[in-house]
Amino acid sequence: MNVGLPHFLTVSAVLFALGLFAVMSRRNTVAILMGVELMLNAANLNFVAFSRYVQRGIDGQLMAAFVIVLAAAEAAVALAIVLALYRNYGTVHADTAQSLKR
Amino acid sequence: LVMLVDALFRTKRKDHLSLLTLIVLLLSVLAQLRSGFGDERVLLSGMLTVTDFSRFFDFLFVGCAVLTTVFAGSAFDRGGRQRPEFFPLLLFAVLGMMVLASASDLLSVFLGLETMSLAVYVLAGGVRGDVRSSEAGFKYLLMGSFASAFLLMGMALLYGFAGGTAFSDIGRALAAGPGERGLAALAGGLILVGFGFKVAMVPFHMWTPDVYDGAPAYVTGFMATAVKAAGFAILTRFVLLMQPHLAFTWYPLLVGLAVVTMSVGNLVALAQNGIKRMLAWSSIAHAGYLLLGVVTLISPAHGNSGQMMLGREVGEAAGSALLFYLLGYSLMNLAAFGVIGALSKGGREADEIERYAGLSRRKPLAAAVLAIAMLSLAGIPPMVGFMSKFYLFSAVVRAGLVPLAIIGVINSLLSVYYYLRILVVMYMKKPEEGGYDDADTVAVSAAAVLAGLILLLGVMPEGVHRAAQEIFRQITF
Amino acid sequence: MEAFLFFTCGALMLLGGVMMVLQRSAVVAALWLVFAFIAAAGVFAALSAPFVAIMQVLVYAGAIMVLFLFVIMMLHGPVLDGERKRLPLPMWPAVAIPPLAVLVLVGGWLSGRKAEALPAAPEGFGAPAQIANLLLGRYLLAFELISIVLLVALIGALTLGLRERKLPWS
Repeated sequence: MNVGLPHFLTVSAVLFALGLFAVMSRRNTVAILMGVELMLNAANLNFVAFSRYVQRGIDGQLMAAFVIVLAAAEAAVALAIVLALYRNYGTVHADTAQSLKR
Repeated sequence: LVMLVDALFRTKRKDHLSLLTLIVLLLSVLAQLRSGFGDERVLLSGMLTVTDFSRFFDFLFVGCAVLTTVFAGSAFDRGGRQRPEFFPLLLFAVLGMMVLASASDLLSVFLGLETMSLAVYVLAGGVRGDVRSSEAGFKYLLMGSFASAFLLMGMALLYGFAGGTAFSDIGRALAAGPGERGLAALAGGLILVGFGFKVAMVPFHMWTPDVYDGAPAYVTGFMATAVKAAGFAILTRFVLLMQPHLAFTWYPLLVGLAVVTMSVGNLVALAQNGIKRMLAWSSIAHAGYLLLGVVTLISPAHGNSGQMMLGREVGEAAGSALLFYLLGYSLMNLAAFGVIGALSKGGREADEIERYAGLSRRKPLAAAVLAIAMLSLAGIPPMVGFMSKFYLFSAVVRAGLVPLAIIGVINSLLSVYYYLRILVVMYMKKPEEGGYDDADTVAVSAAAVLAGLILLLGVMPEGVHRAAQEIFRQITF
Repeated sequence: MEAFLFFTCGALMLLGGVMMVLQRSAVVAALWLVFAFIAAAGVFAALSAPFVAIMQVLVYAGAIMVLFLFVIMMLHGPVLDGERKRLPLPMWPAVAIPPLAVLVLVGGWLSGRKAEALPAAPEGFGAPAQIANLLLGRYLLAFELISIVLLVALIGALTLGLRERKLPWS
């Protein structure tokens, strides 16, 4: 049974949904960031799948490579902010950081 | 131009940093001017297309950055925590926006967006030790990365549909025909979600009040104007690109969102007592008005090729109204946030509205500038705010969407109340002891220049409006 | 061969994802995520994209997750003790939206695609050489921009992460 494009797209959709669920159901900031990483990974999977099936050129894979690098940059800044937040707040739970809500 | 902006920031002498940034920004303007107008040049093998559309936005971004530098510089001198890395980050944010405005390839859109967002996350969250600012940065980053995940998923689908990342390929594939309509519409939807976050459309606006409130005034000023303008720049280009598909599937949803954004923004702003939170909600309301312009661009009356001729002219009216509105909106908000920044001493932000009581007696100039900005935001005749709303609503009416225009007008009337409340507090009430008294002269004078511009444009908008129309006539992507 | 690779790695990846979401403590969740990323690299290999697969393992599974683990370790206190909440967030959005997303996404693209046979990949399809000339050719700007993004991330992380200490020039 040969593996067609829809297989990859379905897997990537499920992965995207998992990431979405992780982001929504977690209170811990680091876990939310992990969820976002998962969603980015799902998009990556799509890029590579499309580049393989649809277009002979490999723009898709290049795009995926850029996304990986960018996710790393974003994760670095995100974790730096989490650290800064932890220093100011003492805890890492997303809900407790509510001093802005007047 | 772009590399110039980056290269010069390296020198890190602290005290003259803001001067240096100004020089760099002015240099980039010169480079822009020298490169001339009118012609549309495709740079770097299709990644960027520099058109008048992107030049307009480049000037807008540089203008906002220059003013933010002035406000930030004065805030630092007056004891605000000195942050040498503020200015390079500001330059990088402008760099990202310029790439975003002229992008003609999915990859350059994504990279421009990420450069801008990363720089602004740090700017918002950067004030060390200040609990509120790090929380603002954190919330902004969380929403931003969440939005870019959606955006990326949409781009992946679009790439799959079109087989290439360049806008030209996508345009060709769309025009080519039936293909997988579902896929393109789905991709369009996901990308709209991504841009929706950036532009703070209603379902994705929750981050705005907290982030605008938490970040220091000069950063918020930059965010409210330049970052939102960049969001609308790419949203407009994208909407024009995806027009046939968006017109059928997402058009009704967009219309609803535009109306809801306006009303929510205005209604909640009524109840705010912090001035920065109020301005945050008012910026959401203005995003609603701007969305109205975007919606008229793709309205079926204008969308389907049948009446392309009528559509073209209506589209131009809507487009130029959009550009003019963005220009006016940036002027007004920068003036308002400038004054707020000027009044806040050191870490303490000039936030509570009651503390503005009787400002007119103590600081007449600052009060006058803030008053002009508020009046203009409300859309009172002599100001640019009125003209921009006038152009926008006339374009909407001409596109046959009269009910939308009526809702827009009602919303503007609604908004008059909370803008005037500030004026009442400033002028009618007598000053209490806890009120803000000293303001930074440099910042206030810069804001006064802006107020002058607001008046000038309000009285003689014709010149700029015609230029906007001309820009939009040869919009290509 | 690709079919086998796809099914095994795909299944492992989804397993990793599911386990990561259901984990109580963040550290175990991070480890499951690493597992999922490596399996994803396998899927990329199945799609004959060797360069991206290796990038995935090196950058994603390697750098980012190590960063995550470092931060989790540094925030020793609150992170480990059963922080996974009893979903006080109103349950229904967290549970309702993801399956909806799956349906919409899958429905969207299945409408036009049949599972046609896997076309043969031209020789050296995903090889680094091919990516390199594309990278330095058409996407030169992106190549420059990515360095600037990393620079911004560097500055950002430094300004936020540093504790209050005398900067050399201030």
